[in-house]
Amino acid sequence: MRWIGLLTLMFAMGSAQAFGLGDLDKLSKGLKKAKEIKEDTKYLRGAMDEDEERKIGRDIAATLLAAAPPVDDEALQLYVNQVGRWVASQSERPDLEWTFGILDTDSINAFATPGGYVFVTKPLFLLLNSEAELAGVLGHEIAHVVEKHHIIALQKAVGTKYLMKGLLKAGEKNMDDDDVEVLDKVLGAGKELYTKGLDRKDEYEADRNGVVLAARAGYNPYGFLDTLATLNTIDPSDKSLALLTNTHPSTTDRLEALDPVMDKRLGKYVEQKNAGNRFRQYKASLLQVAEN
Amino acid sequence: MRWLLLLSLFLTQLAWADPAWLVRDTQLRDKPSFSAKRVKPLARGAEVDFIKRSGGWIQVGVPDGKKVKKGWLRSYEVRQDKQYASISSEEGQGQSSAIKTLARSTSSLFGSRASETADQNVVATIGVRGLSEEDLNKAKPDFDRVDDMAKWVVSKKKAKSFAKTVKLDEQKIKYIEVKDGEKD
Repeated sequence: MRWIGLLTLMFAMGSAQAFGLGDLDKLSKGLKKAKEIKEDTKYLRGAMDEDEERKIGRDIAATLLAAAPPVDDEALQLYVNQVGRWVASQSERPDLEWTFGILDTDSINAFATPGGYVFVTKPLFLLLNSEAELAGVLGHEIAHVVEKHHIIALQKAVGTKYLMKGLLKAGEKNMDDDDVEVLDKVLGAGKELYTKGLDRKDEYEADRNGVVLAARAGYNPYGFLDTLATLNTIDPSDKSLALLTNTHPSTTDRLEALDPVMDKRLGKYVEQKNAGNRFRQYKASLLQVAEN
Repeated sequence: MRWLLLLSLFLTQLAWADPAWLVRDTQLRDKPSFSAKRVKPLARGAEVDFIKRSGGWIQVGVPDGKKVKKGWLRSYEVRQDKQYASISSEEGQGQSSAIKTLARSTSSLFGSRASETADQNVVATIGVRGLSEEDLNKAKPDFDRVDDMAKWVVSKKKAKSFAKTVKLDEQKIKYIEVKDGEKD
């Protein structure tokens, strides 16, 4: 954007010299119009009825859950919903039907789908050391939902109308051949999104917004840096990390982008709660269940 | 004399009684600031002496010849957890203890793999079950599973009272903006 500003300035200066003031007036009107158009497209990006968004999120979540079911541990699932809902309550979309789950797989990862579904895999949960770290991971995923990163990416990939037609039909019994074809295409784009990942800039934005959400919820926001540092100690070629590596910037790049911008706004919240004891109780019971 | 020697040994031990380990290669800085001078490169897995914490920074002492050099590191770069002691920059010598711990927890997800828990290379030998690209590509939506999760959904009000039990205080904080051209 900076170069556009510069270009505009150069253009404005140039025209002020070459033409009369009337031309300058025309130019400023033109700029205003351009700005309005930009605002309009910004509104269109990700624009979608909340019920529709939720329905699309449910379709994609159903696909992810088919590959990895939720862990059968009610106390743990309630715990992660308590923490998640609290962090999500600090966001700009506090009233979505936020649904959180720990998934039984040996892949280290976390996901969100549109409308407020957030998943953390069991081995990622076991790598964390405090509720503040969990809040950071959930905050990152919540940020994707709040910013509608997946919806925007899907709209780009298949077009808004196609997306609606395809995903809204999912789960319905009376689909004709055309519907099935459209649905397959759209679900294919959805799968690709979850295997190839979002735009890398969306990941950096979710990192920055996620730590702010954790801090708003009263947690030590630096827990998330600890999580990234832990992930960074794992050999990137490790298979359990493959999907995370394929869908995110390297943890080194993420640490180096996030770390220097945190202190100015979040430095004073470093003394906030880690809630390590409460977290470790759930972690211990999950480990015990796994060992028995 | 011998007891004096012993005592001095004991005191030295005391001075180094708070060890911590580096989780990544980094540079020791002379002040707790990104603009501070970098005074010494440090390798992942190296042991340092934890002195104090200040914001997102930690002051540490590191051996520098016969002396101890004090300086600052980002707090996440340092863990006071011995499992990070053996992580070295050279990964060739088998896996780090952090990974071994992870291997134990993940391998125990496989009931039949109990005999492999002793195998330190267990992560490398097991396939990734559930969320590999292949698994995702052949997955057909399971709507019962997703709808069943509704029973765990927590209301805003309930979440708030759960937060209060560990005294989590809400804050008003703006998102961090970065300028275009920076990593965004």
